[in-house]
Amino acid sequence: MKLDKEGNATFFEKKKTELYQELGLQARDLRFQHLMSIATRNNRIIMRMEFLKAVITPEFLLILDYRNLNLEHWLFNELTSQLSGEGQLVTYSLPFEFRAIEAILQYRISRLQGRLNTLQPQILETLEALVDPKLLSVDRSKLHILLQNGKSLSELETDLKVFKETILEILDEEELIEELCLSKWTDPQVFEESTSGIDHAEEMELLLENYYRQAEDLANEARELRVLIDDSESIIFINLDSHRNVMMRLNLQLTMGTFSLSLFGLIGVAFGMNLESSLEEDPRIFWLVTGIMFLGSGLIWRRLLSFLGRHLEPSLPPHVPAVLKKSQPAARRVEIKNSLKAETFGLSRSTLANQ
Amino acid sequence: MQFQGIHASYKTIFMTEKKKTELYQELGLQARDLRFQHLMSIATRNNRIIMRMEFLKAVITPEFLLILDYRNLNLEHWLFNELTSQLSGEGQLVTYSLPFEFRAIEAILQYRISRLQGRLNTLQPQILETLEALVDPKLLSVDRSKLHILLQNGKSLSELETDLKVFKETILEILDEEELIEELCLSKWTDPQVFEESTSGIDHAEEMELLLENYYRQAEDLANEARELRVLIDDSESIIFINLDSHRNVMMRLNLQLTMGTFSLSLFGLIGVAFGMNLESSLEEDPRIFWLVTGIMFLGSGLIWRRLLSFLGRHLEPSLPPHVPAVLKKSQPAARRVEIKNSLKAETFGLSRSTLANQ
Repeated sequence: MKLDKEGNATFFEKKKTELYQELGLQARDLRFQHLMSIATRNNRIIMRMEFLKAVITPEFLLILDYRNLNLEHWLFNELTSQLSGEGQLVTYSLPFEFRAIEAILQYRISRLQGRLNTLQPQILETLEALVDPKLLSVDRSKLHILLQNGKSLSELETDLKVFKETILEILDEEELIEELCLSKWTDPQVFEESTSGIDHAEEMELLLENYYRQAEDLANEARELRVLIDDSESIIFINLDSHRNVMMRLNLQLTMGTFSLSLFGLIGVAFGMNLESSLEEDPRIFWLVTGIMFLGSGLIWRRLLSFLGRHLEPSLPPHVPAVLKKSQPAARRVEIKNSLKAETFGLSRSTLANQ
Repeated sequence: MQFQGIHASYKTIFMTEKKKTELYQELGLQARDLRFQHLMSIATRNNRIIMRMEFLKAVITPEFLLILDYRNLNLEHWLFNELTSQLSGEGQLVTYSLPFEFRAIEAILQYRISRLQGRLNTLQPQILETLEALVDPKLLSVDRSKLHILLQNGKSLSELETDLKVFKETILEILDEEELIEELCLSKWTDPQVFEESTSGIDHAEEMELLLENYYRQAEDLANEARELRVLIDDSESIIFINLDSHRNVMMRLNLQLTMGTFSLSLFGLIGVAFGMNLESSLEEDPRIFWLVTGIMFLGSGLIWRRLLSFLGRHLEPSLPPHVPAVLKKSQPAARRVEIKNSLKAETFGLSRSTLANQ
């Protein structure tokens, strides 16, 4: 596809060799080996931006293999108007190649920006849902989505990096910048203009730096997203750990209860045996033994629970003002001496409240 | 399209509203110079300095400072209170002996740095406080709403770090090129007298360089503080993990000991269950059998439990390194364990007491 200065587009189909002759290039110049490249050969600029393969001359812009869905919309709607002067470019006072380069760079940057703009809300939304403190377990399908998003994010970061490096390579060498100003070398009038008035090489440099900065801004945003993802992952871990601890503590308290009951229940089992103890006749023994069983298991359980409360606290650091706050519940624990069942319930209530 | 701006010079400050094209003509600039594309930029065009610091868009000439699109809440306080006094010489700037553009640049850079500093100053205590609360060793579980706050703070911190990075890069770009520094000294190129002064006395380019380096260093210091905060957050997260893990291990150990006890009781309790069956054993008549079997049940379960606990003690302790003074401390409880031979119930309690104290 060929576009000229006024933005008129024509389609063509040529043999490779014809094309080479016409452009004055060789086969190896149009190999488009790397995913992204900007090079100058024989006063022609050869650019590749992923799908977009272009050759720029001072008169026209050639887009090769344009039948790519991604490209077609841009090609027919924006590029023509940009080249003819009706678009948003800034290089209208400058020769054609500036417009062409800018249109292509702008296309690339806006595609990258678009990817970031779709990715960012998705990621933020997924993280919000995962980090929610009210969740007890992690929604695994969301995790899977997060993984996909992370993958897209790092692909975007890589593309930005390659874009920046491509441009930086040119910015670093004055020669390369000069080479890109095609008109300067073909049109003597432009050459004059360039040395006396606006220096084309400077303009080209400004243009490239501008797009470099835009890519840098996008890269900064992408990096922040990445940092946010990492932080959120740590938070999710901590949330899960903490929840697990709470459950284990509860489990432990119930195990203590079961142990105490088994211990004193053994007395009941002993008396349940079909062996004569001398105590069958005395009616009071029943109530005594039953009382021992319940009281005993309750006391043992309480002792174990207080052990849980006391022992699992690490030794207090010297200068922590919260020390005062902690010693009060200990006093409260000692105070509670009520009926048997109420005591047990009271204990469970106060110990659970100690968390 | 109209540009609304503030025109500030040595003595005056007033608002203007101009058509774009008029403004361009007056300043001698083109449309593309005033695009303000990037979040932060300092550039010189046609002897005018064009700066952008996020909300603040300014053009500096040797005579006056123009602030465009000033109706931003963030700006208005600074504009009307500090900027005027700074430019007229009553503020805190250091560039009073130098031409106007130095003061204007310094005022803008100082504004930017103090805003960044302000953000760090609000963020830092918040983060420290949240971390203090989370890392507290007495906590048994983690307060999740605090974690959420920490995440928000972390996000603000990384935005601040990015802004500082961009600020530093903007300044560094200029410091790297002598040409660019020279370009910023506007008066030098417009006023021949200043040019003389500059070559013989105080070199303006040097002064400009010093000014820029000063603010670069300030940004660097802030960036260092921000980085330290970030490192602190990461360390604290590790500590929180370790706390939770350690706590979990203690609880699991206790759980295991009690499970051993319950198991032992069930095992020997089976004897009692057996005798409780409605099947005749020949032992019903003997009154002593009751006490014997009961004794076997309690003693037996106690012994089995003790054996299991010592297995826990021996097997789950890693092998002691050769020169650990705590070796002495370790062998004492073992001796104490052997010593305790009391009544049945007391023994069980005693065992639980001493074994739990072994941790």
